[in-house]
This record gives sequence, structure tokens and C-alpha cells, in this order.
Amino acid sequence: MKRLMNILGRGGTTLIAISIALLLVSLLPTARIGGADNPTRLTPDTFSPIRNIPWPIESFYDAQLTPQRELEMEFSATSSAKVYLLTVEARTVMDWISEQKQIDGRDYNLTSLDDFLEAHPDLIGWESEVDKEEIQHTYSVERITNATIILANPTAENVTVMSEIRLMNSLAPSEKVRTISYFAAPIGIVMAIPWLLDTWKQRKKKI
Amino acid sequence: MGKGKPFLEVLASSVHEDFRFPFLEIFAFLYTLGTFALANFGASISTGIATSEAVAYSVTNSLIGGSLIIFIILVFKNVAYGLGSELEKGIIQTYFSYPIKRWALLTAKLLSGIGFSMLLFLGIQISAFYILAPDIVVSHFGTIVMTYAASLSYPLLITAIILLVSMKLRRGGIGLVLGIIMYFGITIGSLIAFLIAAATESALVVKILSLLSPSYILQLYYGGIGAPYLSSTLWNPTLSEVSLYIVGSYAIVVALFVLGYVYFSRRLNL
Repeated sequence: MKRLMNILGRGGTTLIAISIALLLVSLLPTARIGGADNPTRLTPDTFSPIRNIPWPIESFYDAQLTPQRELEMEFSATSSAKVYLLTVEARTVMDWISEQKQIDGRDYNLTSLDDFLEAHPDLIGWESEVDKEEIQHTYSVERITNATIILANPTAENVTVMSEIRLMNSLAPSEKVRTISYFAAPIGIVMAIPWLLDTWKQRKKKI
Repeated sequence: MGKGKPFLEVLASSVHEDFRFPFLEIFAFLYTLGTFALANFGASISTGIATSEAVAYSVTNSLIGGSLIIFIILVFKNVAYGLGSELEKGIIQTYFSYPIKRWALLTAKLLSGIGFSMLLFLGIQISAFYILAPDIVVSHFGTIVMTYAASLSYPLLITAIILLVSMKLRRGGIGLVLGIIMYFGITIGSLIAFLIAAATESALVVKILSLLSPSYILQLYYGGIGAPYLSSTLWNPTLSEVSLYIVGSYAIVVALFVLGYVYFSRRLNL
């Protein structure tokens, strides 16, 4: 009985130690290591990947996401628009469209994007409608993947989409680690209490 | 008293001695913190690693990196200062009052000193890896196991040498110092080995090094550190070669431990 209490007790204190370490990991602040925040102007029925440098220079914003790197995004638009986060590089989308349409240049027609999305629905990591009201979303992954953000204008009027993209680096997915820590700590405390009380009583006796 | 009970008694006593409060807790804390703090998924991106298998290797390697030194400190402490000081102070003789053979006594000591430490190390590492990237763990479990096997071989080799030295000298201090020198010495040794290989255009030195520490052949296989020194025509190891070197290195480790068992059972006069 005493041995079982010892095993449970030490198991409990170990769980508490692990929980403290996990809590510490989750509390360490994330750091911005990249991003893009350019307004994107879209004519009716067109799309555009978010760019590092404004059009016509082809410099699309691509991010490499890992379980330690997530994308924090904020969008607002002058009118209705759509935003897609695709788990490929922007160049892959543009090259596929050029190949399908058999054209040398770039095709920014919305129908071409729809064709791509129809052919590769598994590449859509997240999608949403954007309006005048600001929307926020954090996209995190459990494997190493590329990410590109595409803005589309399905309306018949010109739209300007304001976006702020932040590539954030952290040690671990904070929410997940904190949840584990919150569950493990009480279990550890319950397991350790009888052993700690017994150790304390024995020390008192010795004194 | 059943046959297994004295063994368990010795094992329990060894675990109690090796992991006195709060050693276990401190090491569990350090393993967890070290694993998360030094895990680096970005390395595979910056080095432009292409295959998902190589990514799994790169991430596992970064995960092991920081915590391995903590594991080594724990094992060295248990073997050199645990078993070594028990031999030095003659405490080990009290265990001979148990109806247990010498080899079983040593097994209990090693299970406590190395087995429990490894269980803690691997348990925390794999769990942390699963929290960070479940996809990689599930789809490349074989690569992960191979990386761990390759990384743990050299520390176990040093542990076996520490065990032999501690038994021969009956004190742990010298074994511990020797172990630390050997652990850090391999880094310098590897650099020299790669330079010699590049200069002589012979991969023999690197092959010998890989037999002692197969993590080097694994690095070469995945095109990591060391690869720039060797042209692919000089030595481009295959997967079966990597496996063979890992098995070979563990054969050396097992042989050294067997030597330790023989010495402890037959030669050690207490």
C-alpha cells in the first residue's frame, strides 16, 4: 500500500513538473517573423494572390507554415470579396492556370481560379467572405506546408481589400499545450497529495 | 518469497536511490522544456529539404538535440555516481544479502539507471512530437524510430564504458569525467574524420566513426551535416547500409555490456 502511494505520488509530482514546463512553453510570447500588409485592388470577376510588391511585379506572398509557425490574418474590404488560404505556393496556382489556359502570361480571371479550386478542393485550407467589417483568423497547421492567400472579387464593382498578414513563430501550439497542462496539473496534484502528506508527517515525526 | 520478488525489491530500491525527490521531477521538467524549446521545424525549410522523410528526420534530430544532453547527464549520474559510489562505499555488498544472482542485481541497477531514464526521455519526446506534429509521427514512425536508435547508440556506448571503468576502478568520478570527454570529443573527432576523408578521398575514417555513432551515417543519408565534406561518389550510403551500421553499433554496445556483466559476475571481488 505504501509502495503504491509512493509510485502514485512520484508520478503525480512528475506530472506537475511536466505541467509547469508546458505552461511555461505556452506562456512564452509569439514573435512576428514575417508578413504582408498591402491593399489589393480587384476589378470585377478577378482574383489576385496577396503580393509583397504591388502589381505588375510578380512577387506573391508565400508562407511556410509549421506546427511552430502560424498565420494571423485580418481583412476588410470596401465591398464584398472572398479570401482563400491555399496550402500551395501562389506560383503553383498561377502556373496551373497558365498551363490549363495555354497562355504565356498570367490569367487573373475568377473563372480560372474557380477551375483550379474545383480541381484541387483539398488545397483550400480556409475560406471566408470579406466585407466592410474587419474579420480576423489564425491559421495553424500540424505539418510543414506552404500557404498563399488569394483574394477574389465575385462582384460587378471594383473592390479594395485591406489585409494584414502576420507570420508568427512560437515554441508550440499554445492552446493545445495549455489545455494539456490544465488537465495534467490537477491529476498530478490529486495523485501527489497522499504522498506529500505522508512525507510531511514523517519529517514532523523525525523532528 | 518468489524468484522475482528480490529482483523487484532491488529494482525498487535502485529507482528510489537514482530518482530521489526532486531529481525525477527536475529532469521531467527539463526534458519537456528542452524538447519544446529546441524543436525546430524551420530548419528543414531553411535547408531546403525536399522529401517528407528527410523533414521527419530533420525535425526529430532537432527535437533530440537539446534533451539528449539532459538524458546523458541523468544516465551518467545514475551509472557513475549511483553504481560507482555504491561500489566505492561498499553499499553494493548489502544487496548480496538478497537471494539474487549478481547478473540480476546488475540488471536491476541498469534498468533503474538507464531503462527508467530512457523511458522518461522517450515518453516525453514522443508525446511532445505528437503534440507538435501528429501527421509526421503517424506517417514517418519508422524514420523517427531509426533517428532515435541512431542518436542513442553513442550515449549507450559511453555508458557501457563508464560502467566498465567504474567497476574496474570502483569509483564513479573518473568514469564520469571520461564519459563527458568522450561525449564532447566525438564532435571534434567527427570534424577531423570528415576532413581526413575529404583529403584522402577515402571514407574509411567516417565509416569507423559511423559504426561508433551511427547518427553520422544517418546525417549523410539525409544530406545533413558532414555531407558537404564528402562528395556523393566517395560515400553515398543506402538505407540498408544505414540499418547495418545501426545494428553494428548496437552490437558493440551489447558486447561492452556483456563484458560488464561478465566482469561483475565473475571477476569483481567484493
